[in-house]
Amino acid sequence: MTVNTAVPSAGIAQAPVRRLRGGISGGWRGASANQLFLVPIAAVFLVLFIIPLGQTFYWSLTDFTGYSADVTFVGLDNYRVILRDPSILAGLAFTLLFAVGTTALITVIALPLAVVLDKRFFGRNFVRSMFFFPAIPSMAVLGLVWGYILSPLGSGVLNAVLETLFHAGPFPWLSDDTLAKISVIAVGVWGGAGWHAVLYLAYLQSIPGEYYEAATIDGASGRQQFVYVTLPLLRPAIVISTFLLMTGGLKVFDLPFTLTGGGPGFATYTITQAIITSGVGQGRYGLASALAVLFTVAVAVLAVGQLFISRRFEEKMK
Amino acid sequence: MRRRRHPLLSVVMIGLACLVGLPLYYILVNTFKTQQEMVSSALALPSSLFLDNYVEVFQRVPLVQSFGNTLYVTAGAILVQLVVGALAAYGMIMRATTFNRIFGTVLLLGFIVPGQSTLIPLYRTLVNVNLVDSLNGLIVMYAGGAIFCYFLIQGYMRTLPFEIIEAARIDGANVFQIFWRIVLPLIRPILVTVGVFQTMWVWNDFITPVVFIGEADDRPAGVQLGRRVHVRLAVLHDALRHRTPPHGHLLRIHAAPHRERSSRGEREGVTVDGAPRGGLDSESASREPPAPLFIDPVHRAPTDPTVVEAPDGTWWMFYTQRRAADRGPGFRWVHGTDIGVAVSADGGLAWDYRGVVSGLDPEEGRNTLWAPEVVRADGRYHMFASYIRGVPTTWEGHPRVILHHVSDDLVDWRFLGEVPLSSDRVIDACVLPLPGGGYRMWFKDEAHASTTWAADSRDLARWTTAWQDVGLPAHEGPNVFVMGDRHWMVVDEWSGLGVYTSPDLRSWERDGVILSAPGARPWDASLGHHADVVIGRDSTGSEIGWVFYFTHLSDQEGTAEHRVGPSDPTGPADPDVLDDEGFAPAHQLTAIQVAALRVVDGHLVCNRDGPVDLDLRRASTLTAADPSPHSTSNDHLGGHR
Repeated sequence: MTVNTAVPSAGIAQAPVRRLRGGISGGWRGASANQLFLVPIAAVFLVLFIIPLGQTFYWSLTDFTGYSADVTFVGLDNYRVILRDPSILAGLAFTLLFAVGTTALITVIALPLAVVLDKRFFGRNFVRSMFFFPAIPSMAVLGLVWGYILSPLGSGVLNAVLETLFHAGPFPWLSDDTLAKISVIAVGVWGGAGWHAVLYLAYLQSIPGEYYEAATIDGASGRQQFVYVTLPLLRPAIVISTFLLMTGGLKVFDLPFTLTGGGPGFATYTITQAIITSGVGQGRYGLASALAVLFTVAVAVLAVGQLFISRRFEEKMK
Repeated sequence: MRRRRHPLLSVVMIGLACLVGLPLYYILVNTFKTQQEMVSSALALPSSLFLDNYVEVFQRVPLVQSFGNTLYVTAGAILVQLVVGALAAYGMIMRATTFNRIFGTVLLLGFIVPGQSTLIPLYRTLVNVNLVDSLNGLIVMYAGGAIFCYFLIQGYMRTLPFEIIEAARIDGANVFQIFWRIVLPLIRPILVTVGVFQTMWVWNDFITPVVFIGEADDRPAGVQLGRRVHVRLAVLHDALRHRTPPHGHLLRIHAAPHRERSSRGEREGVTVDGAPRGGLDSESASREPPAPLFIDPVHRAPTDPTVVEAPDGTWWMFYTQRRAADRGPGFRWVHGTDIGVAVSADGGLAWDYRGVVSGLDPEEGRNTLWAPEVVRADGRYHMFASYIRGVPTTWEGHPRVILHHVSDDLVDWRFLGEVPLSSDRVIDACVLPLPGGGYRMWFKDEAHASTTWAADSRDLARWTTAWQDVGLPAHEGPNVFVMGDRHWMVVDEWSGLGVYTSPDLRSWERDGVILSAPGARPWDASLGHHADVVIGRDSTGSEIGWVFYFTHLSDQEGTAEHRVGPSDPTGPADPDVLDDEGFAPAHQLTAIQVAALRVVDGHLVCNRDGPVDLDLRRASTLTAADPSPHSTSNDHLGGHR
């Protein structure tokens, strides 16, 4: 549990508990020494983020193929191609659906789950570990395993169970467009709900019990306690959790890649997969770069927008 | 109230937890089962403790090395991330200047930028500094996680009692001493938290090692995945690393190009001079092809032919290059196969072996390519070949997929990816343009009782969900063509070619069987298998179909009694397929044959001993401008030209 109890104090989006204004005035020497501490992260940031991003942006304006030295400047052509490519647009649509769908569903499931996991009941530790377990193996491995379970064939585990119990099916879990989308999102929710519930749990445990005692004395029902005590106090956690879910969802790659390979057709194709298969895989580095640029901008806009709304929401509620 | 135990809650939650944990149970129990047991009773407890899976993993995957590598990379990466992150957090906390605050906000970008956006430039950079295929290179890549660490650590640092630092400063400690002696011990809890977070990420990361570590054996354990993912993974890996050089020689010539002895067309005095495309051979008194039409000169077992016209008017035959001389075990001789090429410049009578197509393999090592389908669309050629990883020795039990390659000249092929279809047991693609535009692919789905399934595509890139198009009896190798304004499908039923017909491509009607009775020509006394059909005109101008199929020298499985010796009249027996006693396995020797197809009274008729009147230069040409219904139907044949 140490893993998660420390999370609340880690303020990504949270207002700092006690902000140090001005720091210590240590004169010029102190200042330069302090700036020295920032050099490594600046180097990492420059080499691993800024320079490659710059290169990506430059290539997005060219017809660079990845191996030919003959590179021509093509302006915004790559961007035009992207906005007309049905497979890439399909990837964009599913990526958004996945990000929004998993964020909403996981939040709706994880919040009450955390409240329940906070109560004392027999087998609580077992239940907690079971819900947390999907967060441990890599999503690639889990996608593979779910591929067997959701196999659309009669021999697929789920289909075999449904056949035995209800004589129904086989259902095309992964070979029908709509069902495949639902399946990928469902596995994503399964993989994330427990982890985020534990994150909420860490915050819940920091809520003083007196609040609930006072609420009980005032005659608040369990539901009222949840809505008027628990939820408002969990707001910082909700901001962090949804931020992580949203950015993670937009960047999703391993799960659809191993579970469906983006299929059937392009039903569960993602932007990240499009960058690699539609772009790089076909010798269209310029196109892949343009896609990457658009994607970065989109993720940035969505993430910053979400943070902004959360902050406003948080301030309003205060 | 909160402290009371809830028995009902226990029951509900334990039930739910079991449901959530079911996949874990599924993974665990199935590691102790055989493949058969895993399929037949996936959720049951193992009937006996089967440990071979573990033995095999230990034998096949260098687990110790894999885990060692993972450990090294993870430890190194976490150390770098924590040190860089903690230093930055400390520096930022100590002096909150405007510059620092702006810098801190800019660092947020590190959160937002998706790894895929910087993957390509970073790969090129790492190549330049020789850090690809190196574990240290991976650590450099993971150093980017320092930004996440920084945010979490600085959040925690702000909660520290600042008086301690102040006191240390007054006592004369410099900034480094304060960091090392005071701050670092105080932030230990968050370092542990962040360390665990990042360990889970690095340990389980998938894409970075795939891209940056070439040799599979060196890859961290998390990437040692199952075979099904392996092909997709290979696609990805291939996409980023092993791009085909633009001017590589792509036809590996195994043998010097020479006229095959099967190419007896010469005796008819046909000149092989690359006659210009479309030049009708008016003096072709005899356009009878030799029998057999073609035998692969190296491995003696060509199967699954597809025939297509090259840009220069020659005709190219692509086929599965089975290896008759391979002595096994089992069915190894049908695996580990390349796609062979033979070229005919005289309209299909004489075929020159031209080696095998290289550059098709999506991953390194010896793998299996089968049943090519080559179609021309929008000035480019598309190949849909079946692919099996490695060289299995049994027919069953191995995932097989259909790969998509493109080429401008039939020589230089570029890999586009795996076609997502109805299962991971799909082979034998056949692609034809649809009357209303777009294309349809028919293929054999072995996971669905070896029946023919189909999927549509507008652009040969994006395919619809597949459906079953022709059901039982089981069959393989579907081939569809248009003749007499109807669509026809021939399928290999291992007892001849089953014929189906359809007026509208909505449903198929059984028409009969062809090539089931023995023929009289050499090598033609056995069943016809897996065919490709080209439609054209005979010398009188009537519509004719040429069916290219393969035969086994003997249909009997290759027991001692069914071998062919040196004195056999059909006598193949090159030294390289003979065993110690001078016999060749007759069942493993195959040949390509051609026969004529006609539509008689609405039924498809094939007389395998009759005149073939073969001249592929009379194959139906694309006359898209001609609106007559007959030409329209021929348009559909664009796929086979």
